[in-house]
Amino acid sequence: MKAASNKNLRWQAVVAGVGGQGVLFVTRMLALGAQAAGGRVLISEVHGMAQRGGSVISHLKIGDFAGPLVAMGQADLLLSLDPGEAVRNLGFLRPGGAAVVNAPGPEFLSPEARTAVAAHQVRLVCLDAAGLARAAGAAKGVNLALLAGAAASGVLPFGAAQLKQVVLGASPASRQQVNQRLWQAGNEAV
Amino acid sequence: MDRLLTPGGGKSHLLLGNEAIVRGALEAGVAFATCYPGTPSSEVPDTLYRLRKESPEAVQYYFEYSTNEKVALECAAGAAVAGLRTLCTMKHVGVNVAADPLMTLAYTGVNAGMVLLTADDPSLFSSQNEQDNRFYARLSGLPMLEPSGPAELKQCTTYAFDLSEQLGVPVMLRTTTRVNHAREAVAFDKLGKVKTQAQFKKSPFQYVTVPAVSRQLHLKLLKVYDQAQTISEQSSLNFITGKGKLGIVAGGVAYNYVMDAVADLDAAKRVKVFKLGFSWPLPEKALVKFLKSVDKVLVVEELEPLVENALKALAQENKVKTQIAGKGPKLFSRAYEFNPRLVRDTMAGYFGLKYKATKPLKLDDLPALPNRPPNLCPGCPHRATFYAVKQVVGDTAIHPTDIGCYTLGLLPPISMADFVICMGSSVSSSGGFSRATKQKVVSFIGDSTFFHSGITGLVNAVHNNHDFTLVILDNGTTAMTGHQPHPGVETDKIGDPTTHIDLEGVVRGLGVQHVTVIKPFKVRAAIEAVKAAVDYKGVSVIISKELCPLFARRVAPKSRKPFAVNLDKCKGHLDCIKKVACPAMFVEDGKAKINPLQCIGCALCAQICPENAILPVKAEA
Repeated sequence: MKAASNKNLRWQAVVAGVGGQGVLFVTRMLALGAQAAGGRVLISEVHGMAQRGGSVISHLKIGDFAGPLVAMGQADLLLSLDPGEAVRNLGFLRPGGAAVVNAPGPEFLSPEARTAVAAHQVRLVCLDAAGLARAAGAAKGVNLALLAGAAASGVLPFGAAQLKQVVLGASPASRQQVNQRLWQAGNEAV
Repeated sequence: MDRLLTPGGGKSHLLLGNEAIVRGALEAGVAFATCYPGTPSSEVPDTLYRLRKESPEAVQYYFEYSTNEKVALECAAGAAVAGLRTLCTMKHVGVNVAADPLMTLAYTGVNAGMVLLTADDPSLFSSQNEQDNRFYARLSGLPMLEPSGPAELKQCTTYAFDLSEQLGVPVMLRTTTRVNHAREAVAFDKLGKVKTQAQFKKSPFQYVTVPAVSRQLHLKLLKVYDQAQTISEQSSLNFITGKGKLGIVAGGVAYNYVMDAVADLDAAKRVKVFKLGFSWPLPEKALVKFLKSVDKVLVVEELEPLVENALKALAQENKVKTQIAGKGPKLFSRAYEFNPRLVRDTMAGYFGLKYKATKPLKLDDLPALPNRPPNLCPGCPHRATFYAVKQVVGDTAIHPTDIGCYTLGLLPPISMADFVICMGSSVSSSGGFSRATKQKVVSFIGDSTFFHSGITGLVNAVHNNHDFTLVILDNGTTAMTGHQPHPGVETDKIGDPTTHIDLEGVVRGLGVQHVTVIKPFKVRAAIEAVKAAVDYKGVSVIISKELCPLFARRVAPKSRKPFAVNLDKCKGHLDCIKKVACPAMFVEDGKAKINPLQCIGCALCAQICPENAILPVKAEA
């Protein structure tokens, strides 16, 4: 894991998915994780269509930035709760960045997308977060399982343990157990 | 208690722009707040509503969801003229509805700080147009502040109350979606003292705008403008950063894109930026001085070239030769919001600066993905109502529709939205369509939208003997903007101390003779009712009554009983898919299937399946 509180850290991410999947939740957890690590956080959220099944993305920037939007070609991480939305938003990634996608395998991304990813040294992590969530008895916990997977794969600028603490700290008592299970499932799957 | 109600200052919190407005208003001691919700403004009133509900002992302000924006502004005006600090919030098109009172409230002025939030929506994330409400400051003569992000938003909101009191007129706070829905750390100051009670002092020659009075009030407003301009010249919200002979003038979120671009272009020593935060009246003297200090200027403003044109006029008046640009080919467009890359590349192009870009991913050969637009939810009663109407009138009737979730009836296979321009237009335009054509007209409006501005249209239709059927989709809430209450909401369900207004009683009271209330998930009965209404000569109204399932889940939770397709019975007609297209359904091997996680058991598909193949999932033993 990288050092926690690097004042010069500049890191940008795009979180993508479909309305209702928890894009805003994931973004907020990442933001709290970054804040806990001493980073300055800027977020841009999409509201209004959240529960109606439309494409949703949010932007997260950590460090000395002014504007909340990530420019195309500059994201260090694309975290997508849906393989189709991952492909739609690939253009945000910088060469050498990382994509963490809720998909059982890379074959769920189009061949052209896989070629582009490979040609630009993008680290692609596919994780069957939906399957893991179902197995953990919480089908809607895809977002948390994927977040845990992203943390475990070392693509975040702060530690997995730190993020886990933030997530569980933000979970209500009634969700503690199931969120523990989801986190563990995502964490171990990478 | 919510962090927004922390009495003391000092700490920082990660706030959404709209939460920062609330905190700013609380720090200013806001006593009275009104609104009509609408994206991207909604989290302001929703937060005020939630705080009052959760911590009634800790809040001192009055808050209401008003019937529409005109009503919200007029209600707020009464309180502000009486002497209470008042906040009124709406989205950009809402200001059109409120424009009538606004123009003359600028004349009368107010006796305590009054702030009007106009939340604009460049790129139309959730709106019917992307009009630039900076025009309203110019049209009304009122001052306008334009913060760039949440921290500034809080500061500007608090300041706007003081400024309003100083000038005696309302102050407009203008945001855009990217400011309202940005989130960053915002440092808190102390909560303000709240004056909750006022005493109105009569002054008819100030407040009763008959022509003789208004002639004087207009002169007074012009003086206020001059005074506001003097303040704008010295305002710390207008400042210059960087140095060099290349000039930028920018405000709002565009300023932040500029600052990121200056860093990306490594141009801090060549580019000087004039940040415009107190954006109307323009600080003309400061701007002329700035123009003289640089060789060329790029105005970075989303939507209309208002600042650009003003600078060109100022340059001409003051014989300044500095080249000024903003909108045009190879520059900025008047359409859509900006983004960091667009601003960076346009700055680089106009100033001839080099940008060493990392090569982006090559994605030219990526096939275009189909768009994924928002959709009516699984179990949405609107889908059932649309289905019933279509069984009666087919594809030939004209369907004026309105602003709400049901506008999504535009999409196939429903395809039942033919005309929508603004809140309430479904009802009024139906009269025009039915008189101009021989086609059947069946229009749609939601319950909140009906109360907002459908009532006057219906009065007109009854009075003028129009001939159409209006379907009021009564889902008991304001669904699209986030389930805010409205006059027709069943107040006992949400535990609000407001009075429920009976929709059917209103419709009958307006003189409509043919009124039917249907339950849309009783498909056969609904179709019969639609037939009778459509056959009726004159204005008929169908009230289709069924709670929005997302709202119901919160206020009247029931256990979900999903349905499943019996694959032995299913013959693959796919009527369910082709006519209803519920997002919980999908096709596999030529047969329909239902995702049990999404199905809420509305039973619409089960009633239209010709093989009766769709049945409730039996609880497993």
